[in-house]
Amino acid sequence: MKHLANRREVQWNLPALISGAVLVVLVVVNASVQPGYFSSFNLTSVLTGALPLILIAAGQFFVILTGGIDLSVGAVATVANVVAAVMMKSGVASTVSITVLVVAIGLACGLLNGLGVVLGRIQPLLVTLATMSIFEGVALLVLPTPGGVVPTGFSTVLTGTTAAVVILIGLVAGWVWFQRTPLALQLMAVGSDEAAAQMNGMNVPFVKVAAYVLSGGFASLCGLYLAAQISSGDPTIGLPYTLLSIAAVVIGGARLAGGKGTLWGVVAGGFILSMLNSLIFFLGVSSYYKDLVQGLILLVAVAITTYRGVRLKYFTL
Amino acid sequence: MALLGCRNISRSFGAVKALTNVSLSIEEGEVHGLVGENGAGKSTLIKIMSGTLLPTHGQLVWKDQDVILRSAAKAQQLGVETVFQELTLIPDWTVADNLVIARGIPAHGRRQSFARVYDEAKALLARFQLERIDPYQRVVDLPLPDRQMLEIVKAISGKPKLVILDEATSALLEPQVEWLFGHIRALKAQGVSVLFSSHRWSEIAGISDRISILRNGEYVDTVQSDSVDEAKVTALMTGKELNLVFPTKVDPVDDVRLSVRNLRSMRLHDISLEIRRGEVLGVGGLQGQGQLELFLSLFGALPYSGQITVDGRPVHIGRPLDAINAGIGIGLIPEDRKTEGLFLSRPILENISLPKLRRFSKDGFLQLRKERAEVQKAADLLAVKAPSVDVEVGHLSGGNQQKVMLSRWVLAGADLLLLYDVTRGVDVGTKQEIYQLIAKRAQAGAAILFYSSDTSEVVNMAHRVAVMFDYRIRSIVEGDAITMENIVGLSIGSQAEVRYETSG
Amino acid sequence: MVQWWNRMARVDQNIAMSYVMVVVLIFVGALISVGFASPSHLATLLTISSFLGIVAAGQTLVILTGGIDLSVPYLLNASAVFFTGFAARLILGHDALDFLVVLAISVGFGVVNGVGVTVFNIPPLIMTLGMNSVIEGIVLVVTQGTPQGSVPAIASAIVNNTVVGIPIILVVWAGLAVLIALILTRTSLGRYIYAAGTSVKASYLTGVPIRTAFIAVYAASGLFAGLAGIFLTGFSGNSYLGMGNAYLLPSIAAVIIGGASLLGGQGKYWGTIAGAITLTVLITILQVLNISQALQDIFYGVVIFLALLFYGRQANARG
Repeated sequence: MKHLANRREVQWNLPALISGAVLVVLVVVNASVQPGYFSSFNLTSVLTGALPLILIAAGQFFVILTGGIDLSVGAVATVANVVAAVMMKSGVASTVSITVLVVAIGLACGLLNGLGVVLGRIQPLLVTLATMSIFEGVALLVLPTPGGVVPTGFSTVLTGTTAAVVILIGLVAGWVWFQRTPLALQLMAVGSDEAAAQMNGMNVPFVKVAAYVLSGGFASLCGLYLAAQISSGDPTIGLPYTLLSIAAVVIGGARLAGGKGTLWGVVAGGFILSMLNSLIFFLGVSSYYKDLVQGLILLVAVAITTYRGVRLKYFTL
Repeated sequence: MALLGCRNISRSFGAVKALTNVSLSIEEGEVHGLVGENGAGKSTLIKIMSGTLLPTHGQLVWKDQDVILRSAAKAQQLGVETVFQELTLIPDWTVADNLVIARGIPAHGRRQSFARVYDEAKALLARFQLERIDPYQRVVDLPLPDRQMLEIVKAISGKPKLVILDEATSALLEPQVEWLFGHIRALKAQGVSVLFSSHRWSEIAGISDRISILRNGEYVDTVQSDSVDEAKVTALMTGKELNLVFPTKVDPVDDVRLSVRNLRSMRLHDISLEIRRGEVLGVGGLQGQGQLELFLSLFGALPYSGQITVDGRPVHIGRPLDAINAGIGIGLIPEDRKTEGLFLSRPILENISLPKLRRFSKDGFLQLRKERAEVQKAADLLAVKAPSVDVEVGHLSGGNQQKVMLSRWVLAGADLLLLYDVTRGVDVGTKQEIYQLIAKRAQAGAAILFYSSDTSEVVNMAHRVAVMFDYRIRSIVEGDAITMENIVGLSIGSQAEVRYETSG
Repeated sequence: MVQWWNRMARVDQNIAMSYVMVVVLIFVGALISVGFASPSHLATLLTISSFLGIVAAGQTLVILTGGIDLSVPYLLNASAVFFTGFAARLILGHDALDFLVVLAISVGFGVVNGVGVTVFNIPPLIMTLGMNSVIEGIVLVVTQGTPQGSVPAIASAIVNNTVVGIPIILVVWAGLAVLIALILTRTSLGRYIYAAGTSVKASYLTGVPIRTAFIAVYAASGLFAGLAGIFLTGFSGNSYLGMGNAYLLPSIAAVIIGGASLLGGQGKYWGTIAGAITLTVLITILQVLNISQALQDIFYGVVIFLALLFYGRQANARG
């Protein structure tokens, strides 16, 4: 524990801590404008409302940690969502086996992205843009129009307070454990300085592929959770999540160029974005402002981290 | 017994031969110094011995057995640890992680308990008297000398049999060099061999048992360090030069074209100099003594403070565009022409006319015929050899590429030329042509700042030579005092008496 | 013939190949469906291609500088919605004036992209992705979710009327093509675009006004996407939300098929034109074959993937 309290840790994670503070402010603001904010019903809806974004942003986070980007996360979530809605039947056996299948599909999508980046030597942006189109097409094939249904049990369990809390604690605790594993350390090393990672004998291609696979896996979890939330499938449901996932990662204090960031920061980032949404809704501002605000938040958050003096931009020694 | 030997090692990069037929061997438990001028092949040899580069010909021998070192990891398995000029520390990792687990970390495998890594790193740092460095700190937040020391600790701590230190002291301060020497002696006492390359003679003399000398990619000799002095080694390093013909120096005119007073930029310290029309002011010194920063700040590519006067007029050069335009007329040939100077996939024509397109613009459109005629004239003046000016610059030889760069600035009317190592990677014949072209530009009234990693070029081209050491101008040498011995002596930090005239 | 081919620059070889592809595809279409290669159907094909071709013009310029514009969907959509909206409310009361004001707004969005990329140093991908959302938001706020209005005569005339038997929009497209070619080959700006796309560092040290060049290409992308949006209202007879979404991927694919390097500095608009026609003909063939929208999406992704692999290899071979 003595290490966690270290002053440098505070310094180092400053961006993530700032987003934590913003989150607290948001809670206070929300609580002061919404009566009954701390009622258990409302808290559950705050938690479950933020979870899909947090899950998908967690996946995006691993890719951004290596210095890449994954534009296909929204489409992967959609695929997961529609497959679950079409195939999942009531009963534990079906629920579990389809859940496993859906996650496996997500991992496979991520593998395709990773191999495109590593073997095809194509920029991550373009690989994932191309696969985005492919996955969207697949989702439309599986379920051309919104519909399908997931078992009530699946919905009730996942959208309950217990499940939401367990998932959140699992994410944060999982990160605390994961961040000291060789893989996590190498994800950071590759994003921090790919050449140095190579010089230390690290398997850079493997690490990159692993990041995309993780991203695909988390995107599929997001799709499953969305299925539970709306109790059905929708072949366009993942669309807005691509932008939001990047925004949540950046707001959570991770460096867009890679090498630095924490998952708990990303969780905070996800909560901030989702609570801003509900605040806008509650303040009676037209929901048409949603995209505008989300886009602006992303741009401002990124600009703060990328803006440097003009002078040395094109020439650094 | 020889620990690691080189047998007839050669290495070429394309047409350029970096090493030719080098044979030398490192004995067990010795400190072996490696010296040579810039471009003599030291770095190439070290890369081959550390497993990051394969030789084109020849064989490495480890304890009398032929070995092929395909990767740094392979070399490390044998016990060869190298401290490279490019640091291998992961910037965003903590000091502790970098020291304890960076090397050979498996992709899967056990979780690295932080407490264990932290404690190991703390003990390691204590063993190397570096308790002041917090193992919890991120490497990116450390000053460069500390990072260099950590790189050394990382290499030595791996229980090596041979430690290769490639210019490992270049970022270190005096007491830190002493620290390193203490550990080299300790390694030696344990029977570990050390290969040590440095630009500083005093360091080489102070620590080496034997010294090997390279010159122009060839092996010259290996000598016992107590049997030689600096003068002898300098003579071996410079040797009999190739019979290059240099243009005769013509006395410059008196007009001062550029005057610099108390320039500071990055680590540059109090640079003052002036260049007259028709003069070639050489810049001497070993690599990395601030020459690059001097050239870039004069061209507006680095922020500076101090006073720059052009033709007696004080100016501020905020960016390269200012240096090129506004009657200042500066042109830079940068260090790496391929990434910083030229547009390889674009034709010669566009490369040459780019800075002065305005001259060919009329009513918003380029007058292509006029442009082509003037570009052709400039290219002819500088003897660019190409079927036509529509050829992609990437298809030209190195020498022709430099001529394109020169043509660009001649066309732009730049008569204050900053030439940074123009002949690097250029064949001998074209080198001589370029010397003549530079001399011709000077006689036509241009003022030229000339740095070369080949000291003989500076000696033979320059009217005066500013020798740089540790980001300052150590002295400005003139007239008959411009000799190889003097310049090299001043470059490597000789404490020998300075007998010649110094300016200022 | 072989010698002549070998003498061509790689970019020109790619462009020539993409035109060969166009001819082959039209031939295939004619085999599948009678009348596919008839003059009137070819004119229709070209008209449909023109929207993509005009959007991809801006994308070409941006990609030439090594960037990318992901905001084209709502750049296009905004101009379409504003154009019909202005006409309905008669704010300005004059079609041609509306036309100019809408284009000015589109250029303004593009300038914001350019400023974000050059001044705030935001990666083009993020900047344009964020701007797409911002513009979408602006459109939603302005229209309250339902675009209003009607298509002014000027737009339908450009798309539907002909001069000497050629649809006006094709004449406009040809004019734009010539204009872009002139800018790229005959103006300082063109030289700066290629230079900045080849090496930002070398451009800086050669005195190229990098910022101006970058802002100009993003502004141009705004302009062309805006133009396409206006013309598209003439074609479809109304404006609706999401009408630009179908143009993002194809605009990038057209540039890639046209032989431009995604790393910047290599490529010509003539290639993109072939790319736009290729994609349109392909999709038309798929529609003739009754292939679903879903399969078309998959198909687009695969085409881009393959084109990237193909040209990517070449780039590697060039070293």
